[in-house]
Amino acid sequence: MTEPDSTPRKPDTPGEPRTPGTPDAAGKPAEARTPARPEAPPRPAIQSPIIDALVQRFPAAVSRVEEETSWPCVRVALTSLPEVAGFLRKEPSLDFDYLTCVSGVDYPERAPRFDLVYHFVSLKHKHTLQVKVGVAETDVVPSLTSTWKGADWNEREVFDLLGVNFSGHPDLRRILMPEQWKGHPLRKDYVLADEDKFPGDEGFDPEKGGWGVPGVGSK
Amino acid sequence: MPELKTDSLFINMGPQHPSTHGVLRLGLTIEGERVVNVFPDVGFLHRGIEKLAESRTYIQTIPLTDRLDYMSGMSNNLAYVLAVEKLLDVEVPRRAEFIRVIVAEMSRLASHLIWLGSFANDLGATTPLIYCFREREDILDALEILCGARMTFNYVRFGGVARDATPPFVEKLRKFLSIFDRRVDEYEELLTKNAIFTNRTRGVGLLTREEAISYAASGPVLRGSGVKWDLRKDAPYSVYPEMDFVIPTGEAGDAYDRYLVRLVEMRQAARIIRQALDGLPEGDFTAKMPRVLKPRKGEAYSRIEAPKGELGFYVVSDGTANPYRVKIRAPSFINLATIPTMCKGALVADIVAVLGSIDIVLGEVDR
Repeated sequence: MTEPDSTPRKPDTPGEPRTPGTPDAAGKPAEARTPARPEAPPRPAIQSPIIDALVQRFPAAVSRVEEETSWPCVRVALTSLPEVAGFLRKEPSLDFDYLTCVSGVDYPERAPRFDLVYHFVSLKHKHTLQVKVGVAETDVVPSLTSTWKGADWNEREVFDLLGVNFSGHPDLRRILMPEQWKGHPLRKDYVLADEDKFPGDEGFDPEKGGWGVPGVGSK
Repeated sequence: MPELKTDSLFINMGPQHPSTHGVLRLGLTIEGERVVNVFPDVGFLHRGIEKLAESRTYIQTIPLTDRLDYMSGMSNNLAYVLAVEKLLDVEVPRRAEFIRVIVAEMSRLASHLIWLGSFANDLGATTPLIYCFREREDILDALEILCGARMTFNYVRFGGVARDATPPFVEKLRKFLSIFDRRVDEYEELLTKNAIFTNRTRGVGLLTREEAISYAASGPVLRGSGVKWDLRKDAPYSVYPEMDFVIPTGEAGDAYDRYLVRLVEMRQAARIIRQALDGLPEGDFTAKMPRVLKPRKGEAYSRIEAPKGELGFYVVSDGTANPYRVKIRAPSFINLATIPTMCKGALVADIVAVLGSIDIVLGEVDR
């Protein structure tokens, strides 16, 4: 017997399985047939002689990490980054000559807010190292461009998408977003489609070098 | 006679230029025919794939990776899946590993064929373009038999692949491989000793070994500069250690060397596919996976030797069904950063050759 006002749609109950493919169908009891356990506990961090050597050399600046990473990982204090990076490059037993990737991760609830993650490789020794640097919103990160030229575009990307500032960078401009874009899209508090973030040609002045792109409108 | 005063001139190449292969803008400062400086301007195709991934589940991100380097979607799928699998307790069946190697190498062939055709076309040789597209068609037909798609595959999945390799696929692929080496000989006949081609590429776009490493260039750009570095050998993944193949390197680090490296890579890719087809074991093509995928809390960086170089995915998981952060280390993006170095002092016409020799895809540069 149904009440006259009831709609044909059933209200969602927490324990009820939803349509297949819906991502939040997690309310279902975990089925025994699944070999990969969804709630697997985190694994301890990797140990490596490189980490031991770095912690021993820079006891104040370098610390171990607790989270699971796929490469050996250390956390370096922002102020010691140039020193530690120079050591990574010059020390013959480390010889990290290849800076393959620089990423930025935003943790808005944490202080410092951002993590810069550098992935170093040594082509000679074939070993790898992940370096994490905590950066607050007001901090300025020393650029690694003078040691690894490949850091140039990577750092511009972090600057563009996360709004982290670098010092000593030869050409710190936005790279993927337009020059006059408002906000930094990869920040977690960036609201998509909230307002018009692209003011168009506003601010374009050929006499002053266009939008600041080198060469445009100047000789 | 008073001394002639020359001034440098700023011109734009692109973003709507046929030889920028998409929407790349190069700002050039030139003095006469000589390039003083190059300012690459990227981002016209930025779709925010890294941001999109944060609001999708892990498996919903796989189709997004197809749109990175759309010449070799399979490689992108594989790189992303390998990164997430590091945070899952999953054992990939051997058959799936072999199929993954087969499709990744097919992607390499398809990508290099497009590159060869368009590179030769940029330099004025139209014939190789037609030939290369003919061979690529066979690869795409085979992939279509395998997974139903020709460019956006969404085929490599967590724990294995989406569908099994069927006999018609294997048959089609073997038929293609039986003629492919002869086809590469044909391209070589057209180009390798062609005076116009060698004049346009030899000594053009020089990148020294040290510069290539410092820029973290990868793939044929790095190997063309004489660095023997291939992740399939130097940081092996999947079942590559079981495959027998050689890594070509160049000597001069010019556009011609990168061309030679890619030609050898095509032959080697065909060789790897043959070995993988011969050794293709029976068994499951995928492991049993939970319907809701929640990798454990942690971070993973995986890198593969994609056709254009080191394709890396840095995935941060916070234990929920959506990735917290996905960073894509795109080989084209990093390789393109070398272009100001390669073009310094070159002729304007050589920029086309240099850009072509890097082999960029803007879908991957801009993400």
